[in-house]
Amino acid sequence: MSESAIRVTGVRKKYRDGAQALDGLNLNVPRGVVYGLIGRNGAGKTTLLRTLMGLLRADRGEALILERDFWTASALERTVAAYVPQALKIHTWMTTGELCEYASHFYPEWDHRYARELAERFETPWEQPVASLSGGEQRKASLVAAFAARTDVLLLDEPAAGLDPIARRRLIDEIVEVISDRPECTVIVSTHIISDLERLAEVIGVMSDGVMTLESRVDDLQSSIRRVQIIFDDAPPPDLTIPNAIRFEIDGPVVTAVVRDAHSLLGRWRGQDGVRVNEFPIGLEDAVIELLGRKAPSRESE
Amino acid sequence: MNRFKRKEYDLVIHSMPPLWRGLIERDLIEFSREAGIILLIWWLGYWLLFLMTHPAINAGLFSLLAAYAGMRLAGADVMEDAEEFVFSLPPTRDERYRVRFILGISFLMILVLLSEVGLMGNWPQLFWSLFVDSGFTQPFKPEEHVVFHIVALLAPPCVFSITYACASLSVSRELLYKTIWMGNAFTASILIACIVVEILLGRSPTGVLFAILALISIAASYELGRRSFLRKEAMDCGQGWPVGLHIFAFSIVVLTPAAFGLLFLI
Repeated sequence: MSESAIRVTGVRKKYRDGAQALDGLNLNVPRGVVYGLIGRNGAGKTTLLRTLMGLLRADRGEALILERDFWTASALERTVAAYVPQALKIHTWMTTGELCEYASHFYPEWDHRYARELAERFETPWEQPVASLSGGEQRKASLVAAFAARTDVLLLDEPAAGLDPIARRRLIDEIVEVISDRPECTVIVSTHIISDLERLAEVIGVMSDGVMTLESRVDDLQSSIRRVQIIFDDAPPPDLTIPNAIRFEIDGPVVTAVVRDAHSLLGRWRGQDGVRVNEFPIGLEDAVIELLGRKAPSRESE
Repeated sequence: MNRFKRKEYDLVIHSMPPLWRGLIERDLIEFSREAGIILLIWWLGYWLLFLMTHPAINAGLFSLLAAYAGMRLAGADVMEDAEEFVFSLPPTRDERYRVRFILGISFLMILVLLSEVGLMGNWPQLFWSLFVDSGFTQPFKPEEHVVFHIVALLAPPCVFSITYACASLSVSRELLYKTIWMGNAFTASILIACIVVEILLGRSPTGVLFAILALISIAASYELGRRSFLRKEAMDCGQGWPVGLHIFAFSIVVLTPAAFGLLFLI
């Protein structure tokens, strides 16, 4: 059996209005990994999750969860994954308890005790109709149902969207705890909020225009991207090249660059006469923003 | 009180596979109030007020009910904007389509059959004759109304099947509401066409041609709707069958003469 929990190969999806949401996307998520999906609005994150769950049909390519295509899979095969959609529209006439009871019929591994425990932990009213709950509580009710299904794969689309910062932080903390209780579970989290991913994800994938532009372990990304400042006593040399530059700018004698793997740049200029080199670590959020917002540097080399 | 744990549901569906049980329980809970109101209206109209004293009236009223039930059942998730959530649960589109169709047509046909059999047996009159001897209505003679009985028995399931198929494919509430006309319009046009053909052939309408076409329409709309529903992408995020304004307009155009035709026949 393959070790991939999610395998997406050359998936293309075009909407009726002509928007190319996915453009030959490839993705491979090993089992047991918490994978963070980042991208700007319209990058194709939600389309990817919907295609994986069989809500949309890919025009081309394969989108598989545990080697099953959810578009054609049987009900039993579909029990391996649960999904929390971004636009939360669940049956609002049910109470949280009823929502769980309803969902329990479909998942063989459903855990009633765990559902109740999660609802208490998330402070989600059990007996109130979902319609009377706040947006945050509704989202939590949906998460309770997804987690209690005890599936092998969880797809969470913006799980903390619409919450205030404190509620969001608490919810993310709870999700981290729940996920850490089940190390065998593969999770894909799509979000705009990079600080959430910093705490949740082991690997992140950056999507842009329907393709994956970068995939990296969070630790590696944080440690490899640096902001480097090179200050020349005179003007910088006209043939100046910045290896692995994501972005750089020259302001008189000062060259500021954001680079991936700064070693070669530092090695080239550090210790040279008339040149001072400063290196600054940058956070994941800044790193991702640099990656998402980058334009092809005109003087990038290598 | 968790309505999914009620014993009365267990009595009915405890032997079913969990997946079917989940789907049926959900629909029983969601639609029980509406079904109760419909039953109450039927009971009042049929048993107390003697409104359904002719199979043509049954055909008309149950066709309206069938259109509503088809639209309401097939479009329940679209109405709630919950299709994305619902489609992400394990039951397949095929199972969802079949379960609701069976639920809807069973409920409808129980009422239709009870009304028709009761009408032939003059049940309401027999019931009331236990208490009063009023002579409110003339005893019904079923042998005089064979065509109408055929229409009363087959038009409602035909309307339901067509409306259900169309409604299940709509991708927005706006489009969903328009589908309520489609079953009635199509069934009425079949009915009129059959009557015209039989008259043109020089004989009085027997209803046999309508019965054949209605049965074919029920089967065909069920199967076409099911196959199309299997390819339906979740509302808000995908594509479905574009049930558009032009079809709505067409329905009105067809329905109006059909209604006049039916009135003329009565």
